[in-house]
Amino acid sequence: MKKDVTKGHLDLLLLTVLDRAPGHGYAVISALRDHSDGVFDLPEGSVYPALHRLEDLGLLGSVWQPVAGRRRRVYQITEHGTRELQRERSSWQALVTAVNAVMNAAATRPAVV
Amino acid sequence: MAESPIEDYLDELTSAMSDRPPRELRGLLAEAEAHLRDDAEAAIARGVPPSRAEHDAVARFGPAAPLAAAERDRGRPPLRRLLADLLPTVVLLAAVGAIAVGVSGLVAEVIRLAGGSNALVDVTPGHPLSAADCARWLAIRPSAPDCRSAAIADWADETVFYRLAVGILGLLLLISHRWLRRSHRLTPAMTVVRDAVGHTAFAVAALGSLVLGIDAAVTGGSAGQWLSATPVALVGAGTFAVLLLRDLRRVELS
Repeated sequence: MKKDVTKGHLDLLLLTVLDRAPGHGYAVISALRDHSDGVFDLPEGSVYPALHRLEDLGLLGSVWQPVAGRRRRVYQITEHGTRELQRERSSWQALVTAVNAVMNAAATRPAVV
Repeated sequence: MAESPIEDYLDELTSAMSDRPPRELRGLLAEAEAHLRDDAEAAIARGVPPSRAEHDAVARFGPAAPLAAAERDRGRPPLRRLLADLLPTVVLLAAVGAIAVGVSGLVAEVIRLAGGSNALVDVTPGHPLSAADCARWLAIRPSAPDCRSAAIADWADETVFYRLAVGILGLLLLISHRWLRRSHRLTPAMTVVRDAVGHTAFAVAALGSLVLGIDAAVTGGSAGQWLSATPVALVGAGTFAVLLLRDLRRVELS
């Protein structure tokens, strides 16, 4: 269930986290888990192919940096990524609004027979 | 050597990714190791025994095989992305090709101004000119001394006019491409393909027009319509060659 929660939305989540500040993979995953109160507790390794794919698409950039004594790949959202994030956010808000409208209507009206 | 779940996992990941380019493999291993050790150290700081902390970090990271498969799949562009890459590529190549045709129309006009319509096009000896066509050409060019001259002048006009019209179409396509490019960025591989195709097409056009022009000149025909395209095609081939070299250098560096 938890893996399914992020299915199709992982790109949006990763871009959102990295839009706040650049970070390495572990920091990104920790932020995802912490901000979602543990709901987004997916296999942590699965985030790396997603980060690499977003970099291939030009939505993220990365640099290798020594952080806390370890060599880490630090990801940063690009200008193109920021624009894509704005588009994805709008689509997500439209979906949430539509789903809420359907659910609220279903809760307040009698069942169709 | 003490048992280390993290070391075992990294060995497993190395085996699963053995078919990947060395730099990509080293990068992923470095990221995975930093991640696993961060996670284990955080658990140890909370009081979890080291061996247990490493074991849990590996379990949370997930099995190596699906991770390796996901990395491998990443290199295969889905059809939608391929099509999204193809559209601006085709539009740009068509735009540049059409603009080149337009510029060759300008060169053709210069040749016509310098050497007359005969330098541009010719009527093959023995080519039948119907009475109806002759009447039409002579009506358009009443000052022409005969049907053949009127026909050559008309064909030269058409050669220049149609090429310029194609050039204007190319400018419109170029504007469309700028709009497409704003909403989509090409992958480095597609950029290489685009510039390789552009270079090849212009090189073939340069060679083909040069051969046809020489052939026309040798056989007593008008070489202008072919040779007007050669310098433009050469510039196109050279420009795409420079772009291609730049693309290849970028791919190599990345």
